[in-house]
Amino acid sequence: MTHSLHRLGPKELFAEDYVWLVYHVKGINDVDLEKKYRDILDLARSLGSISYGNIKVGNIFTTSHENLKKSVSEKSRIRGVFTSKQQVVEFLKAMKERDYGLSVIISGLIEEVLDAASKASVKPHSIHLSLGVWGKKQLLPPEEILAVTTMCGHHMVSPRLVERMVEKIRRGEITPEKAAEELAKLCPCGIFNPRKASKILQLLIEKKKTSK
Amino acid sequence: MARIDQEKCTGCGDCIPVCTVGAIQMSGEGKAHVDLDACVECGVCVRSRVCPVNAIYMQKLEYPRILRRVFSDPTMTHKLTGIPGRGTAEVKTNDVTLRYDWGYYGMCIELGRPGVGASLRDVEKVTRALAELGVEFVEENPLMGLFEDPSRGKLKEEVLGERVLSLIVEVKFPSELLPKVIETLKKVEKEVDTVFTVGLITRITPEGGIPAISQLEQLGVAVRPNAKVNMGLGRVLRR
Repeated sequence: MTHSLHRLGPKELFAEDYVWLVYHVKGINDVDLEKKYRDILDLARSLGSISYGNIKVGNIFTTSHENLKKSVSEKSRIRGVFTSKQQVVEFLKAMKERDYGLSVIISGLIEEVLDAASKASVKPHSIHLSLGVWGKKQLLPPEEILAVTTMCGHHMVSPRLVERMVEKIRRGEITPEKAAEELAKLCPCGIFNPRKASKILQLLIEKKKTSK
Repeated sequence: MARIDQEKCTGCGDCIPVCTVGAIQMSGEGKAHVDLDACVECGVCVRSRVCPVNAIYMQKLEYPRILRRVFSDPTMTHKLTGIPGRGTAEVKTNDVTLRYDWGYYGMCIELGRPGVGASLRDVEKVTRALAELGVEFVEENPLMGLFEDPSRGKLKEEVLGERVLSLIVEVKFPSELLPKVIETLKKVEKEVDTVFTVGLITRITPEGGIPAISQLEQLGVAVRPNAKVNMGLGRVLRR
């Protein structure tokens, strides 16, 4: 799945946005998976991963850390999101030291991710570059809305719901932080970054104010 | 398929913005209903528990309609790949599988993304155009089950009327074929009634270089500043 690759929006919004993923290949490196995945969930929490989850169970906003750990199986893949490069460095250092033999993937600004790898003494193997959106782009919502919706790579967050949240914030019915958490609940993988979403929602409110 | 019990629906409209493709609308009678042509069966209307009276429910789907759910609901696992969510392992396990090594590129063209949806007729326009170039469609991809003839990029006739939230066409080709692939995509992007994302998978040099970027720039293709990096920590543990 290419779900963490095509996060859209201006470059400056990526300063606090690093998706992490851990993958295995059946029959090749699926050894002691359940324990490894449980330990990695603990590691992510200890490093302050703002969200993480398991697509079959949900994310940290819809279930508990303990339930996520309990529900890990040989078929699971786990993912989440960090909000600083330092967290990525620490995560990579720990994963290198533990030497689980599992694939570790980080999505974010290329130069920052490569720098994090260098700081952790990790040598990246390959990269999936985003060449952007092609085709009938007039069908797309505005860029700021896409910056929110594309954080759920399976597109479970609709542009209309983001607009509804903006209206609710504007009317004082919900805070930007709470609205961002509500949106994060719809992303079962746990890679939707509520901190970044909250900032974009506030930007959208400011934009509405200035356009009046 | 996603349906709304008209007896239970109170017409509050809370479900309308939740729908990923805008398929829920209000009827003249003040009740919400699902436009079944537009619905891609992603199931978010049910999973979100947005309905205060539980009026939304899923009905059992038959082939080929079930393809909508298979490619749109991320909680579904594909039998072919064993991976939940409509996808493949692409770059994620490349350090272990070496599917995309030096001399080759991988490419993921995701029709319908971001958030627009795509008809399988549009998917076929892309697969047919790419097949003419002789690219290899990656076996471990749910798309393979839809082909009548992968050598021609032809999909099965009965699936063409279906819509999905998105579908990944994953291909592998020698790196010297990149200009032709880009030229083909530039042509086909004018023929589809949707959007698609394009991603290129390539190796990173031991010094951290990414030679593909300058090749893409020479072809007039902008590379976004964010990407997905495989950190090279995976290895074979079973022989």
